[in-house]
Amino acid sequence: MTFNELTKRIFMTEILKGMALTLKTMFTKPVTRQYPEEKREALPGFRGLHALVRKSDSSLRCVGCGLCAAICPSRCISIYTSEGVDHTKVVDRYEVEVLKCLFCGFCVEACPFGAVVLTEHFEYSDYSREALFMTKEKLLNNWDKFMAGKKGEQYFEKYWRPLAEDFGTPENQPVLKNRRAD
Amino acid sequence: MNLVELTINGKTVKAAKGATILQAALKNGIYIPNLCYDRRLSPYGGCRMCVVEVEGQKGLSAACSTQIREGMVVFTETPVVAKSRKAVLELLLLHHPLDCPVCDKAGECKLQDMAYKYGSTSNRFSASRKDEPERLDSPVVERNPNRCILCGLCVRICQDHQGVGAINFIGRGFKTKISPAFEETLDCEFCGQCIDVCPVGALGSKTYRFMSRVWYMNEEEMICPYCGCGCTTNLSVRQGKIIRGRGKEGVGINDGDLCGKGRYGFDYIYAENRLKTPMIRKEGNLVRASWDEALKYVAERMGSIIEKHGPASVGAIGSQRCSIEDNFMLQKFMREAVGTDNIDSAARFGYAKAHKAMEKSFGSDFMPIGWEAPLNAKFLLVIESDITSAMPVWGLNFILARNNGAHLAVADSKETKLVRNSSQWIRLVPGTGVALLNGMMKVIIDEGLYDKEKAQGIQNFSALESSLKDYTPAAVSAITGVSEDEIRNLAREYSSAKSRLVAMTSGASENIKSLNTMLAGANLVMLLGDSPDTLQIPAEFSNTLGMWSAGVRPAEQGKEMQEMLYAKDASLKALYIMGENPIVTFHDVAAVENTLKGMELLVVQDIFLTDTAKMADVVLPACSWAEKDGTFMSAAGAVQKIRKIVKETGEAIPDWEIFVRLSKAMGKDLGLNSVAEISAQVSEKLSTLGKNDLKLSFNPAAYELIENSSSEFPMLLVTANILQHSGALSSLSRNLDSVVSDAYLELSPADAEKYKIINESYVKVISKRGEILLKAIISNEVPEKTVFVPIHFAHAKVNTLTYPAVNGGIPLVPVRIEPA
Amino acid sequence: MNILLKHIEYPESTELKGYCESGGYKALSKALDMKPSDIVDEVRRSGLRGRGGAGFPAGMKWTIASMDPKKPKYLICNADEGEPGTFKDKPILEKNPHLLIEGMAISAYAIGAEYGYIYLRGEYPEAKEILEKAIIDSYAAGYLGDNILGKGFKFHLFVYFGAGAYICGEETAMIESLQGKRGQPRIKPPFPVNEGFLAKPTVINNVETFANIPYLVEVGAYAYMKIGTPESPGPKLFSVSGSVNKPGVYELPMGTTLREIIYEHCGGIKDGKKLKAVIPGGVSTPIMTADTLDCPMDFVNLPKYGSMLGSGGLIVFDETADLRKVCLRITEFFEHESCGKCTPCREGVGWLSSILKRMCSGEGKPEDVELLLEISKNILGKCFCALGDGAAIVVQGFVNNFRPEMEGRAGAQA
Repeated sequence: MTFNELTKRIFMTEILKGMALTLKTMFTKPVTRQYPEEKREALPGFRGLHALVRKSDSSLRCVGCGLCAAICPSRCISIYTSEGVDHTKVVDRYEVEVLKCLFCGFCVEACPFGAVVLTEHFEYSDYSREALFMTKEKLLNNWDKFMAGKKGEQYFEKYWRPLAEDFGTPENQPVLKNRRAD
Repeated sequence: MNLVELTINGKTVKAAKGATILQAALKNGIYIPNLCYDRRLSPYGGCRMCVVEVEGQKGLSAACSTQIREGMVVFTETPVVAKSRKAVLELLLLHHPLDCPVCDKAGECKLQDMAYKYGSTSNRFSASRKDEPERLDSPVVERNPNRCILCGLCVRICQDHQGVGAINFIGRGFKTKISPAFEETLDCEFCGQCIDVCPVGALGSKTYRFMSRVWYMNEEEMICPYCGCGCTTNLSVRQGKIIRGRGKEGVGINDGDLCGKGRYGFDYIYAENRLKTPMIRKEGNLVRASWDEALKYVAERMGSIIEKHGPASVGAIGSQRCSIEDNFMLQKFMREAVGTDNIDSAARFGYAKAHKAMEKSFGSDFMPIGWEAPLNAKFLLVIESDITSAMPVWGLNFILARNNGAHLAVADSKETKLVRNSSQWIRLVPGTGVALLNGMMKVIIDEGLYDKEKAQGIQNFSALESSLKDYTPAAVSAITGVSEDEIRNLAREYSSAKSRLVAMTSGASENIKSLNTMLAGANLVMLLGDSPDTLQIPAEFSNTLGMWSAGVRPAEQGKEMQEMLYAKDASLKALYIMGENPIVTFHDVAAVENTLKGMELLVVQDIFLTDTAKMADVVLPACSWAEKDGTFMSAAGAVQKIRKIVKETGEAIPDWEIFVRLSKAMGKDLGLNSVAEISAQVSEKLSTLGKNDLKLSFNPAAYELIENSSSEFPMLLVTANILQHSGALSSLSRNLDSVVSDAYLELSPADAEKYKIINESYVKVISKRGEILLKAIISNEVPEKTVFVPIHFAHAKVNTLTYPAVNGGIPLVPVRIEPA
Repeated sequence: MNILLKHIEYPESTELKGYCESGGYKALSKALDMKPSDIVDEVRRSGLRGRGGAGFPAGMKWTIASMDPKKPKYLICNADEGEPGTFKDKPILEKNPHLLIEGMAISAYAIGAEYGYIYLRGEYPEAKEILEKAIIDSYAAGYLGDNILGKGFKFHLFVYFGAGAYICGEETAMIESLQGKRGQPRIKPPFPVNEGFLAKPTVINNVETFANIPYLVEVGAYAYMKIGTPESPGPKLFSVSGSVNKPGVYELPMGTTLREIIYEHCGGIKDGKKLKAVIPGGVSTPIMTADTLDCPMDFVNLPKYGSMLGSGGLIVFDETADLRKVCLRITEFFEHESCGKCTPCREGVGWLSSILKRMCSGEGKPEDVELLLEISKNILGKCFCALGDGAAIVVQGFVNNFRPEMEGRAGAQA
């Protein structure tokens, strides 16, 4: 036993050091979050529950191109379209089987118009499978609930950028001219 | 064939002399991108995507229009080539709308694929796009001029291959667009070939518009359920529903060609009146029943009738639309479980005549058509048949033959599509084809142009010779209205041709030909010493030949159709109808209705609640063609499989299975319980076909009208098929109905004036059997004193006026027309 | 020089009488006494090159056509003189129709054609009337018909009036148009000499080429070759327009220099201005600068100076000309006249003209000239026929020869 060790033992420096840390921590904020009372802020690009984007005129932004369904690795998206009264393409059904989804976010990336998003909502557990079978209406409600207002705009400005923005569809494009703007 | 050896991308390949680089490459599995090439058309060289490097050649060559040479060295994918293709794509995409997300072609678009492979992702020039309105005004075909890249494939396939020429380029340069004349609404035969060849989404199927994306669908190869061509149509199925049909290169006997029926007609299986459950008549009404109940009911009633009146009081009608297996089981059930030989079908009025003619003349029991036969003849003579509408895809071979330099002579009273594509139109009085043939033979014999050695050795030659003595050119000219010189020249030219072909159709609904016409055709063939396959008479529907060969016809003493349905004595007590609708498709409806009403038991097994089914005591629901396994035999004799590609409707089961269950319910097991077992027996039966020795014999055939026009009924009613429909089945297809949905009466302008009939007004058509109301269409296609009516539409009741004929007389119907 | 335009100076040159008096139809009767193959040989020996623009040896064309066993054969005269700046055929058609008829009759005899067509430009209605009258007269006088000059040779001639499409000056497009189809070029091979009009051997020559034939037959190949240069013999019509004192059609031997044409025959530049540029052979030939004035005008020497003889339609620009606008105008012409069959021409030429338009309106971008060059490189050699290529080399010519002005740096007029 060296002198140093002896002094440590006599004055109980180890214990004092420990106590000092305890004392210090007593006055700091606790790390543990009191979930579910206390919820964590999601970071940009968080991949939560799906939603379909509403345009400013409250209609669906999705044109039913099916690229999300094509890229989806777990084949959980199905889209049914038909011809509308004015001979345009109408999305009749847009369905996501959330239980199959693995939240890769490919659908968001594939969408040329920024019509599908993964919201920050992650608490969607339920007792029935039906509740997690998202129909078009449910998905639009998700948008209203979780992405309304500034949040939705920022989502596309700050994190996902729709492909159509960069791959130059000219403004005077006849076929899409009424579909681009929201 | 001379082969040329050349090197493509370091691989030594061989191709026929005169082929282009593109053809040689594609044939050897090397893909060269192209947008304006089609195997059926001559090279165009417009798109400039197929450029390749040829060693020793300055600059790039267009592979589609450069012929191969011995020892040529070609590179299809070099940096220079890729750069050039990128430049062309950039130019094409300058004005192509980037609306792939809403374009139905996306995913199978050639331009899209090439843009992925060679294109750049940036846009150096923001040109204003074309902003033409979409044209959705015509049925089944939609046009979007904005997406058009002017490859010209649609124009060329329509004009050069299909023989229609409905669309062409309008304008020049960048302002060029593809349009019908004067930018009117597209009004063509709606075959949809242009949609298949369009590399982009400029032409699309309206029935498929926005229905799906290509990556959602499974493609199933199926045999078309309509005519006897036996084409393969590629059906796209999404979630158990067929949503489109199209042709595919290299698939099936048709090699990608389809008519409108094959492309659009699949949707009859979704008709509203599909049967879902068995039904039994109780207190005068048809009420739903379970299978067990229905089968027990049929078994009991049938049993008691057999007991009371004997098995010969039971009859059955088979179907030309059901599979060979279904028909085989029908006749097996009838012969073995019931014990009757009274089995026949609607083919009695159609293909049976052809069969009888072949049997009498050639001693053959199985004479399928040759698919390529028209292409091998130098002189084609078509007798009063529009092969291009009865057998649309086989008909293309006639047009192709003419384009290749053969002489196509068409004897017809109406200006049909085949007439428009013929080299010679012999316009005769309807129904006089037999007289024309006799007149030709008379000339041939008189001038000694026939094969004396062969013909004189054939039985009955002297009888033929003497039967023709009244058919002098003058007499025939008086009957047919064709000038004497034309008859003589036709006979001379026909007999002196290097190779010959006589073709006619044998539709049950056609009343301008009869057994005698076919016998006369056979006589002509034998007279010139040609082989029997010079006479080509196709079987009418998808499985007519299969049904016939499966034994759906009386073998011995059984009653034929006219004895079953048109006999005055009520010897038949029970009738079992499978997939046939006699009330609509059979001639002289009043007589048929009378007979059916007199039945003690009428069982109808069908996929729809047809007019006949509505009269039945028991209705049994069967699976449609896409809901069961089986085989069809095409007119060319090819046995082809059909498969179950969609779920059955309601409780429907395949026809063959109904017989399996019914025979069990009657306590007589037929011993066959699956398609495989039935197929084994069927193929055993079919293997004996066409093996017998030929025995040639002349059969003098006279021209005779069963009923002639009179002062009371001065016009002759001609009934036939139209291109967009096939039998009564296709009228249940919503897609095809959007093209033609109602019967009409075509008459000449002179007659319209005479009877004071306005275009598109309704007229009363009266024969001695009854009267019907039809919309009149004034047309130059029809000769005077003749009216033409398509037969397909149930509600028009055209068969109220007609009458059946199974022998030599021509069953034209004298009628009178009045404004309604 | 006075061979092609010789008869014009006689009074009533359009009348059969006037033409015969000035020595017309002598060559025809001489030719009909020769063997057809001898005439073909004579033409081949003379080295006569087609005057339409491409300069293909006429003798070679005739030889191939006359050797093809397919019958009947057809003869077509390309009178669809649509090239801007070219009006050399007009005097022959309007003032001297019998020269053309005689030339065609001799040619038909040489290759064995029985039917001939004159595909006349839609903008020449006067010529149509004159030609038709001349043909009727010739029939009456026995220079056309079933038995020409009683020598058993049959030749019938028809005038077909075009509808004003530049592309129909291209020989295969002309055949399509004659057959009643859409005027679009066909794939070559097969060439018209083997499979042309109605898929039968067809010889198509320019009006001026046919006009050379009577003289050639009359004097023989040897004498004919004395005119012009050895590689391109014979007289040539030059139509000069633009900024010269005496514009018009001049008949001169091949190989006359530009300087001689402009300064001697045409009397120099208007108002004594300085020469800036010359388009030597119609708008589809590249522009030349004032330094190249000593270039002999023939099929061989002009390519050495980066241009082509084309149809011999000179357009002269003086120092005040705005070449950017000229270039735009020419490109717009090609855009308007593109038939739309092949992608590079249909889309590319339109793109060129849009860029030039933007340059001329002052909205150009610095990289536009480079872009012009690149697009024209992408068009060149990839087109179906010469129309698109023509547009591309013209733009290249302007940019290469007058780059500063095209960029808007020099030439303050812009």
